Amino acid sequence: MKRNNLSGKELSWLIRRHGIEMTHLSKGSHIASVLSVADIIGVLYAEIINVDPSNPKSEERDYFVLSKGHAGAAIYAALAEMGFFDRSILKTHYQDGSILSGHVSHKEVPGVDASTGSLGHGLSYAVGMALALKKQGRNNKVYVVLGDGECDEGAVWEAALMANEYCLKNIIAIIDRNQMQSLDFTENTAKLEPLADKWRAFNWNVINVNGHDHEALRLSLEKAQGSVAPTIIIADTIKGKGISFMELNILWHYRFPHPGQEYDQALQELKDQKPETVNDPYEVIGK
Amino acid sequence: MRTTFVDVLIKRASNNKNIHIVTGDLGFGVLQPFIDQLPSQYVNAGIAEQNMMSMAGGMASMGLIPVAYSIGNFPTMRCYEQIRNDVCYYNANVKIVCIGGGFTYGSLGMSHHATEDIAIMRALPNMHVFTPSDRIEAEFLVNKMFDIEKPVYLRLERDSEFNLHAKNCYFEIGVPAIMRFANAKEAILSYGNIASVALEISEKFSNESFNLDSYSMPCLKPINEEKMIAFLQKYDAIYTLEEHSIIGGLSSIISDIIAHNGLQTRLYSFAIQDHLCSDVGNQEYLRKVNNIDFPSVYRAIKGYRK
Repeated sequence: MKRNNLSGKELSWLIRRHGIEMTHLSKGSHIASVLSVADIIGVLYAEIINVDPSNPKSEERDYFVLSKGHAGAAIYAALAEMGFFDRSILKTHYQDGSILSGHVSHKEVPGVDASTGSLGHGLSYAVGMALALKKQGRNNKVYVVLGDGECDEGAVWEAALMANEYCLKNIIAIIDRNQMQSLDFTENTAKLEPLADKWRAFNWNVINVNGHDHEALRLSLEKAQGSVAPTIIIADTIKGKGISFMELNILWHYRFPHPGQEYDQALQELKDQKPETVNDPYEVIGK
Repeated sequence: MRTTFVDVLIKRASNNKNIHIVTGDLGFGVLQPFIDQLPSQYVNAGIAEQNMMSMAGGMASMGLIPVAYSIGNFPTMRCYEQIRNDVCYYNANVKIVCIGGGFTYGSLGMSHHATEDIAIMRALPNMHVFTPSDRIEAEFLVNKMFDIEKPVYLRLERDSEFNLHAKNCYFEIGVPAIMRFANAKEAILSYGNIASVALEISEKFSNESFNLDSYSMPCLKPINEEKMIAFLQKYDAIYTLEEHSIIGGLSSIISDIIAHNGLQTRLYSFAIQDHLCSDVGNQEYLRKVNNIDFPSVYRAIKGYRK
């Protein structure tokens, strides 16, 4: 359900724009993960998830768990743009005294349901939420975004077993399949392929999609609504998507856009992609 | 204690549909009455403690009251980070129940000795640590556990063969509970099934006209520091006896309070020394090889008192 005036395209661009600014200011890590998941979060929040910024704890809302908590900047940016809190707070990300830690924390951040950062917790937490909702006879959905490297964690597969056991069709999980993890490509680390078959073998409803194609993302998320099994959407993405020199380069799992050429070029490339209908927030409110 | 736990659990869960038992595929026989009477409030999470604990956190976020149940180290160490991040950080209304504290499952081997659980669970912010010594304490603590809408760790063991407390004994969170009181100058403190050994020792000394008060500690966290200081000041010497590592348990609690407050009370600790026990034998035998059985502790205290 759409609660703001932004489209998925607009929100995704804003997530990338904030992500560059936030990691630049904070000298923080994980910009490439923010860029790879930006379209997924953008479509989810602008067009799919039922949330109400004026009533973040509404009983009717859908729930969201960013299990790959290191992409926290993406969810903070989305929530700010959705109106959960003032976007000027984004600039405090990582800073002393801020409410916005590097990895996602629910404490004092309106709109965040679950704190994450240690991989392999989020899907299990979501299974608990979904099981409770089912027992309570409520129809709310629980959305989870996992990293592909995160699927190395055994607890992910414990959760996969249990979601199937309890027929938790109210779980819609999305894997940000950017092929890269902390030190290397996933297929050079602990081969995940055939990933879709693995989830299929656990009796999940598996949907493959291009994770940067908004129309395809929207369709797959809508399709998942009617599933009789828990859904996993494997969204093929490019780590660092949108900034040419960050794409598919492991360095950008850690490096922040340094002042000068890196920051300037990243900004220029982003500006070239900006939807006409959206304003660059940093041109309005300054840095 | 197990039966007491299940009886009280059924009573509370019958009146509160939010209470759910979430077992890590353990509790054969023990949980059957619950399953029979309240099947819709029963979840078997399989042999997957990490998922079980995060799941319990998620259930609590929706207003349910999960009681995560397993044995030995499985509901604590195996999923420690899940407890820290997904339960304690939220101050979630999750109960963690361990059957088989200490050497309860002695003969099963080292993997089944829960002898560092108090140390690690005490270290978790927001966590309560309940350690009943007999059925009366168990009944009090299981009820208390549901009255407190916060994380609680409940360490259950075998029942003692006899009641350690008078029926009308007064229990309070974080202070010692009287087992035997004769206004002595020294006291022995214990928790869990081995508190029965502490009581026997104090009775033996009283027959030798050498008084030793004895107390159990039903709750090791939170500690009522103010009352504990007053308690310790009454005594010249305190003996702690526990079926747990010397690191991080009751001995550490008491020595912290003595040191932080400059108390003059002498402390003697009986606990498992810093090792993993590879000896094979039942609870009684393993107490003996670890010098925390009746004769060892009795002899040692007698030696200190000379």
